[in-house]
Amino acid sequence: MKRLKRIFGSNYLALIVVTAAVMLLFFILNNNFLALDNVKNLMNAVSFTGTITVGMALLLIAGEVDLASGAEACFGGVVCAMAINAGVPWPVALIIALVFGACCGLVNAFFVNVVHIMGFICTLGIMGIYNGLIRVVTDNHPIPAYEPSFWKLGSTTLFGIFPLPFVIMITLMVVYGLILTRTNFGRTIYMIGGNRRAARLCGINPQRIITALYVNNGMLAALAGVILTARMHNASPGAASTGAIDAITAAVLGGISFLGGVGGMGGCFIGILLITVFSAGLTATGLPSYWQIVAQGAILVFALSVDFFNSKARKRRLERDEIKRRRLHFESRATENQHRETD
Amino acid sequence: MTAIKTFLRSKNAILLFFLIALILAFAVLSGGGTLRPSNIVNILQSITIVSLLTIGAGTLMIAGEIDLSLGGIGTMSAFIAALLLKNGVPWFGALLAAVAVGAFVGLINGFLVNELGFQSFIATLATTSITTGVGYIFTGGMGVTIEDPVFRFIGNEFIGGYIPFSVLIAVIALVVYAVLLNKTKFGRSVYLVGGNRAAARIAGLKPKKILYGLFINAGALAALAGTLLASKLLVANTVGITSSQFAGLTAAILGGISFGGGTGGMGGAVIGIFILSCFNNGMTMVNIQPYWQTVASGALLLAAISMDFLSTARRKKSEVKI
Repeated sequence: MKRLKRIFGSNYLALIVVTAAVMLLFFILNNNFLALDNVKNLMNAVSFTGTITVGMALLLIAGEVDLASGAEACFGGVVCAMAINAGVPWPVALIIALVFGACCGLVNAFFVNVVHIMGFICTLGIMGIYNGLIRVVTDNHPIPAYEPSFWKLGSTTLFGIFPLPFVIMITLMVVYGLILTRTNFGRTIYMIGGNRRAARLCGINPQRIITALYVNNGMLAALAGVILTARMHNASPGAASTGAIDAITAAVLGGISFLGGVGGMGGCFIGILLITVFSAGLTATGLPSYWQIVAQGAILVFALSVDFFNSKARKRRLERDEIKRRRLHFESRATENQHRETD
Repeated sequence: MTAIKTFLRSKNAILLFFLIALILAFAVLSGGGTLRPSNIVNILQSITIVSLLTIGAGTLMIAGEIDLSLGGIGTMSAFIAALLLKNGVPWFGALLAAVAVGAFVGLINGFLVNELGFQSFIATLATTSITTGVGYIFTGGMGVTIEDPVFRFIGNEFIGGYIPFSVLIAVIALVVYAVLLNKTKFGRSVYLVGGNRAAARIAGLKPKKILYGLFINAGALAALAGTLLASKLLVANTVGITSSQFAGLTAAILGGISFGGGTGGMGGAVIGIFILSCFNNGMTMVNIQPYWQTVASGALLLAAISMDFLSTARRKKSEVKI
């Protein structure tokens, strides 16, 4: 009962209601929106943003951010396609792409940890570099990846409904969700995001964990890019330009505060669902794609506003508790003094 | 004599030497091509847009905030100006409307940062996509041509045959803002807000009010820059000044305006602007692929920030010694 109450009292409920309402709205506007084929498309779209969001969420919880993760995803896909074209068997190509992603993450970590540049500004510069490099490498043309067994990575469906990319994303979310809530490492991520100095004083090495998180984020982004390449049968240089901002929006919608230290994978999943349904719905209603760009920004502002009011309420609650505690303390001291006087 | 000595030891001197080295290097690489009068005119023209963006972004950075939406604002405002001109609005009306729209978006940025407590980079990232999208919606993603004679004059006319008219605007703006920052109460309060916001509040300043002013100012300048680019190209297109935005940031950082806020000024920023414009122009003159140029500008931004970090680290170390 208490558990149920907690779920209904949390922000998840509001998110789920909003998501359901948005789905219903688009279903009314276009009856094909919830047809099986479109739901499959939705799941595929969710899986790409979702895989990037998993890595981004961990970074955000630790109080960091990677604006280059869209470019890293794209680069990962390009590297994988090029490896396949060079005759490498696709599992090896996948591993090469993942290693490449990890190296991208290491570069970010270097600038954040060693050169002490704020995460958002150095990844902004790095994003520019990657976008340029991708276009140099591909000559601004999509790179075909002709390898039918590789395409299966994107096209297989389990039980006739769930596309493999979606299953991979769900698995990742569950695994990382467990890491966050059940392991020592997971809890230290929260601590670093909540109060980095306190974490250091507790004997945690924040730099090492941040490095691990950036590397992890680069690998997951590259994985997302590889799966996208498998689905599209080619790696396009402009494929993932909005990946990072989508992932940030989804994570913040899902209750991961931008200041670090709070949030989890469950909310993240609903956040991803909401933004993907929203942008897919806009397409389904036949509005020009420009509206999606506007909607993206608007949703981000909305998500951050909700985050702001939540944290304000949290602060107020904490203050109220503190006042209550002090009053109790004061009263007990007063009665103590009274006793002393009567003695 | 001591004045020269202190100048030689300052960061601006190093930057100036770097600029001269850069100019010489590109002159040699391009076989003197970069020093031809026609190319110098090109550099001067490109400086206008970058300097307006640098002023907007730089003043905000001195106050400890950042605006990433300048590219989006400028591009959207240029569309608005071009559409108004097309519908028979006189040139000053169109220009005024564009600047007003830019200022309004700046106001929204200020609201998000001041009242809702967003971090400025994420708030302005959101307004970037909103303004970019709105620009697309207005025009369906197509360019809008400009035929107004006054706009054509502003963007393409030369004074005395060589100095582009638009450069005058940039020079006036740089001088005005340099005086504003150094000689007025408002300017000094911008530094205080960036250096230590709590102290600024205790000293009786209103940081929120100053930030509103700076965000609105940055938005209006970006709108002006976007409109100027459109009047130079005689078309408002979807690319607009989006790529110049990072040039503005990089120039400000190169010029010694640090991300932490509270330091730097227009003098350094001018050298930063020249370094950047010569760098970009030089790469084109030496026939470097445009994609490599994107890579190089990203690398330059990173290098500038890293340098900024190293110099603050050294400053801190010397403070500790004292």
